[in-house]
Amino acid sequence: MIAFCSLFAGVFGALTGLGGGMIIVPILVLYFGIDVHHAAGAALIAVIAASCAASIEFLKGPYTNIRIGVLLEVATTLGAIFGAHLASILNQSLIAVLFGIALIYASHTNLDAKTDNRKASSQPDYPFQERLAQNLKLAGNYLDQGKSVSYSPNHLFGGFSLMALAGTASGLLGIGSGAFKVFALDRVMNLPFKVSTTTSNFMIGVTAAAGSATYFSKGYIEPTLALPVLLGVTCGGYIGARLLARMKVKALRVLFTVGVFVTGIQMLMKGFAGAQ
Amino acid sequence: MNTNSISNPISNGRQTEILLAKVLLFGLKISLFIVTVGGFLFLKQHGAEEPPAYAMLIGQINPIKISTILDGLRQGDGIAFIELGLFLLVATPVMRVGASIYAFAIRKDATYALIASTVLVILIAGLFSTPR
Repeated sequence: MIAFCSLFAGVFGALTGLGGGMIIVPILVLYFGIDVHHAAGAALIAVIAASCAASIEFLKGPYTNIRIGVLLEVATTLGAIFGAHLASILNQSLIAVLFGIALIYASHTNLDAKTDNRKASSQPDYPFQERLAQNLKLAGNYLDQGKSVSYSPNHLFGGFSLMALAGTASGLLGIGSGAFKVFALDRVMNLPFKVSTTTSNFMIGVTAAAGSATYFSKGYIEPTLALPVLLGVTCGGYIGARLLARMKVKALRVLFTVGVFVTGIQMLMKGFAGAQ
Repeated sequence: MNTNSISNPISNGRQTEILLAKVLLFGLKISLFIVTVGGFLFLKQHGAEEPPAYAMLIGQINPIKISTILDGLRQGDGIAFIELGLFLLVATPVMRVGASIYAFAIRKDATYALIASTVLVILIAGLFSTPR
């Protein structure tokens, strides 16, 4: 049963671009009555698998920027460990409330994402950060339809701090927080969109590993729960990626975004109900 | 759109990406295989019983110890296989970080070898930061 729902979560996660964790945690919590800690632990495990699987494909392409990824992983892993420790201190209701907020935020940005075709705004960068980016050789380029596209990240410090926050959210809530990472790479650091999504995915596996290691050592990974979630999300992600290539998903996306929003409200209510 | 990736001029480090992809694929395959084996063993051993009451997990913690996993493996316990597989899955991105240290090091990129090493240290610290 849980495997089936995870399959569903994996398919929709891939179709909508939300990570599986964002979907599977509320399902586990709201419909199976599983406590938030174990749900987040199981979801983190599934997130690792999903990210690794996607990275294998992305790394063969020209977009993933390993240097940017590795550099920002310093921030995301620290954040994830902090978030995972925070999760074990905070009570479940508060985490449920935070999760609700994250879902509502995600449903909002998810609708935005498609309408976004803007050219990367070239705001002036601070000279020091620009020099740092040069010294760290973070610039990259790739060929897009025969044309060479060059890019260099702006606002390193801003991106770095946001990544620490994204890592914290990942460790705390058991999600990949890919939307948040893409936001930092794309909007703040002004990287091309494809570089942002693939590099974000590259980092998610390591971020989730940092978080789940803490869940492991705290005993929040239940093998009999993690297994069906893991297999379900992995198979689902695979099917979803295949479907994505030949499906018009716009209507589905809108419908699903509404679903995510409603789930966010439900998580909020659960959190507040538990707090009393 | 990946067709031109090989002729990408900047990516003299293409081999790095391929290496990392291989490490990830390797780890993913092994861990998913072991987890699946464990799942079948578990169903064989416990499939006839009532499904576990997950709601009862609240507040219950189950720290996984390497010694118990090894004991379980020797006895062919399904749970132990699942735990081993999960552990290897978590280790996969860690191995990927290790591989990137190696890749930066052989290209004499000291800065990034150092940065990647920092990530590795953070990951290992996270694993052993057992509370209480």
